[in-house]
Amino acid sequence: MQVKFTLNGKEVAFEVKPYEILLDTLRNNGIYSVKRGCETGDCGSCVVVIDGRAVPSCMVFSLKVSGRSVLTVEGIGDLNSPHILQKKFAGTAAIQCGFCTTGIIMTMYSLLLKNKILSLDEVKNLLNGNLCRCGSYKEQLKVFIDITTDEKSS
Amino acid sequence: MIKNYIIAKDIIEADKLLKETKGRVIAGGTWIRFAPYIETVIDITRTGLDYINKNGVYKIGATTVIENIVESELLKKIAGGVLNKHAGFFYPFTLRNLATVGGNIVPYFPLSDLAPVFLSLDAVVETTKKTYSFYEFIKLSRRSIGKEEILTSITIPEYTENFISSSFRFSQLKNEFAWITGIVNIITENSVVKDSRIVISACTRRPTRLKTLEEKLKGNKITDGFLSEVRKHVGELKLILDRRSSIEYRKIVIENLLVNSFLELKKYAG
Repeated sequence: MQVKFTLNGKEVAFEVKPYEILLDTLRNNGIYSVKRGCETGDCGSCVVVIDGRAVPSCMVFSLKVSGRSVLTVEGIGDLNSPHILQKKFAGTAAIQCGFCTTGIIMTMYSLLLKNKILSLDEVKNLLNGNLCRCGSYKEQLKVFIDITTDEKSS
Repeated sequence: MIKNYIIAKDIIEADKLLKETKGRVIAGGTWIRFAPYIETVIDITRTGLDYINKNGVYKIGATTVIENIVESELLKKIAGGVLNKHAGFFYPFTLRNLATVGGNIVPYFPLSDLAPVFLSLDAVVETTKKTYSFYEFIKLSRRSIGKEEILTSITIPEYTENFISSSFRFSQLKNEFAWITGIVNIITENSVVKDSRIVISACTRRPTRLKTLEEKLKGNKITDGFLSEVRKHVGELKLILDRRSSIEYRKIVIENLLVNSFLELKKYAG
């Protein structure tokens, strides 16, 4: 079966199996930022943003995103013009092994889209589904708080 | 293994497809991946059932995602936002963006964060076949909904009287399914309790009302004598055993959390 959707701003069409999950479709088509972790929606390493909402791609059937807009970390910035989240993650110790990083960036990206002032406790709760085995939570939270504080002050 | 994935245009088509294919209805689809015996799935996320509105009563469409309930300003008006609070217990946030209210109450009652709240609010469930009170709905076979009929909406009556609520959810970790969920809703009149709903869930097969305790509370105030009654009545619950804790342990936790809820309500109810 064929699924058509917008991937990082470009219209794409992929051949998929009826039971195929978005995580596999993306990785089979060169989007390697989406990592395979738990495959039960608990670890957050495969998070992508679908129509503005962060969701674990391991829990989404590929056919479900037909006509939707899917955004991965490749779509929010690149080496030449990184998104502020990517820039700050690289500039601090928020990245350790890097496996969880893309999922965390995408969850944070969706929170920025909400354009809402969140307390530290709220952010901690919302990032509860993104696990980092290296334990860089403190630095990751600092990145998010720094960005939202900068936005508020500007 | 899934061989056919069909996206229904509207609920009439979904109902027709359900009868023709003997498939299973999905919306969030977070559980279906773990059901390897299903061959056909009918995706109902594009059938216009994603809404929360109020027209006399509050109405929630079956495919509304849990995060929309958490954020709904409209639903915050119901008993201080008891529904928003319990929807927020569904972890993690990324799954709340995917999982739907229908999916939360249809397949697995003991683990549902929303089913006990709906029971405590006297919610009404509408399907493509008929309308059920939430009490009738939870007695139905779990497999009939999504196989022979499709859940379309949940309706909650508007409470205009002095309606207050206190609730709790107990688990070791936030990301874990609840060990115990409890909700106490009371309607007061002249400082006495006119009506109440006391619901315990997660540790029982289905969300369960403590009806004898509700009767005892009717027309009375929350007194110290009543609080000692609470401890006695918890023994009436048929608790289920799972490997996370013993029944005795859960009983003690329920007793204490229920008493806490009543003490909280006492502050407001006088």
